[in-house]
Amino acid sequence: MADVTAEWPGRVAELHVAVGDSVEAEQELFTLESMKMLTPIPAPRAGQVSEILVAVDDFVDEGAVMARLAD
Amino acid sequence: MVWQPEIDELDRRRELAHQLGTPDRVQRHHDRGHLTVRERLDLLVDPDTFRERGVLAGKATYDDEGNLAEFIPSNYVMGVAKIEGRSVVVGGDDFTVRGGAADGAVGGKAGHAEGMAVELKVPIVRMVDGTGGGGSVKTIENIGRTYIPGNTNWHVMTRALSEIPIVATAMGSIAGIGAARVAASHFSIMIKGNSQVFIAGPPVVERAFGQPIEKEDLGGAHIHAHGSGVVDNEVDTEEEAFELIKRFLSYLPSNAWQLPPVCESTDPWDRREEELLSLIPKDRRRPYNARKMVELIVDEGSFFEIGRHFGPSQIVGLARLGGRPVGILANDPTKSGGSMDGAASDKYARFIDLFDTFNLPIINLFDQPGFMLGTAAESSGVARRGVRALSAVYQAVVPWATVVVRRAYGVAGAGHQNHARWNYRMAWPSGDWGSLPIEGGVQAAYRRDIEAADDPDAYRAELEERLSAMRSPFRTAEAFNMEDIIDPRDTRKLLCEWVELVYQSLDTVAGPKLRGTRP
Repeated sequence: MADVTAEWPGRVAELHVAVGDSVEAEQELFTLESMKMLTPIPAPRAGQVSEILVAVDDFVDEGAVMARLAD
Repeated sequence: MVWQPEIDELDRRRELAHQLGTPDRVQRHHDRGHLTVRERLDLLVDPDTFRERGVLAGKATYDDEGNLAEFIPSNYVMGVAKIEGRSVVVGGDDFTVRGGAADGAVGGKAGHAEGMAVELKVPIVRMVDGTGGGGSVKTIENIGRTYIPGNTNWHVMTRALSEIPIVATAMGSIAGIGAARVAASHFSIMIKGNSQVFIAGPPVVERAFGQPIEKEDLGGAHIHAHGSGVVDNEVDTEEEAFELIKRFLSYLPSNAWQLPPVCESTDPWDRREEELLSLIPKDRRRPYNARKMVELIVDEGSFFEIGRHFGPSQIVGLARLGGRPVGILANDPTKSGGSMDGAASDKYARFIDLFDTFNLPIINLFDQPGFMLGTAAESSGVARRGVRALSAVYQAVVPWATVVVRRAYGVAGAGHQNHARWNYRMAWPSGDWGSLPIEGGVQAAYRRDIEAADDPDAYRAELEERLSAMRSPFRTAEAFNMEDIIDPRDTRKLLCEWVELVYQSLDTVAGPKLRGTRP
């Protein structure tokens, strides 16, 4: 298990994966918008998306868990 | 043959020193995946170049006839050697004797090595593998009193930071003065999963807080090479650490009085990378791969990034242009939009100082929206840490070139160069700058007008549109407020030419800088 966390606060602008998707390390999973910039939130490691905890337009704080990856 | 017996004793004592700690301790050290200090030296330095100092130092016991019965060597092995043909001082703790504790070094050998490097004006490599300064409170029993802590030789280590390159590697679990010797360096490395750095190790921490803690959780690479900023780079093996040491030193002069070593470059100066023309997205909100940008511009394979995971919105590293070493600054728009937070400010200041200390011309590929905003950033002291970084910009005397590849906003954006001296500055057509971005700035500047309007949103949009029409960087260049706008594909050639030009008079800025260098 690994958490995908928001590296900085912002609005969830784009969601690039769905539960069950296999992802590579560093693959962009979400795009956050803050300070007029779109920031990719990458996968901390390879795995399968087991849970997505945010929806488009949600506001997330820095460190908030956005998704979980299973092995 | 008059002195043959003494020569025999000399050989015997040298042999005993080379045995290090007891065989079972050496075995345990190997079993934990570590090399001994002498094996490390063999891998790091050029063959047959290590000239050891103080091989005879140690603790001896004698039999009733006064013959040497037992010998425990000093646990600090050091001397002069060559790395890739260049003279250096190297020293390393021997963990197999008293756990590498500093008081097992005998007669201040570690301090002697530091002083030797400063006098010889050559880099020093510290391979730190010690468990602490005082070693243990047993010292109290040995000397029959307590003592006021003194940080022996700290004045030499402080001076060394301003004069010679210092590289430090954490080779094991290191605490106290060992941790301090790693942090007080220009470039530091640790081994992922097999080295830890802390002020005090798990037993002391557990006693302090009543909670047990694992050493890896307390001071592993995931902490120090990823967020604390105490250690710059992490590697998987000790062998990789030696390669990084060699690579880092290859860009630096031996001391602050000399110029960086120039090498042959086969990469053509006029290599024009088409990719640079499309790298920056038209949509200003979109990030791009800034490391790729750096690599497309500098000599092929020459970019050496330092401290990637600390203050990650700021990229720093060493590279070559036309074979001449330079310091690289760039922003990573995928991290906090490339903004300057507290950690990025610390990183900017520290590496500007490093480049300036060792006469490396600075190239700043700038795309920065300003300081990081918000409660977390304010609480972290970004304003003070940021202005400290600005002071570093204004204290640097090495030649400085800035390419504004996209944004330069506000006080932090102004920190792309020292505006009181001549800089080689240019922008890409994607250049976008100001005190405040138009989107947020309109609300601040025209708040009353917007509130009074019949349709505030429409009026705000109209204002934004009117100002955006004046946003073209060509208008700034018309006023010579931006000296030039260039085709991004010409960046390499222009910078290669500039670096060649400034190297001609680089010796005029050589020598230790007035500001000194702090770790």
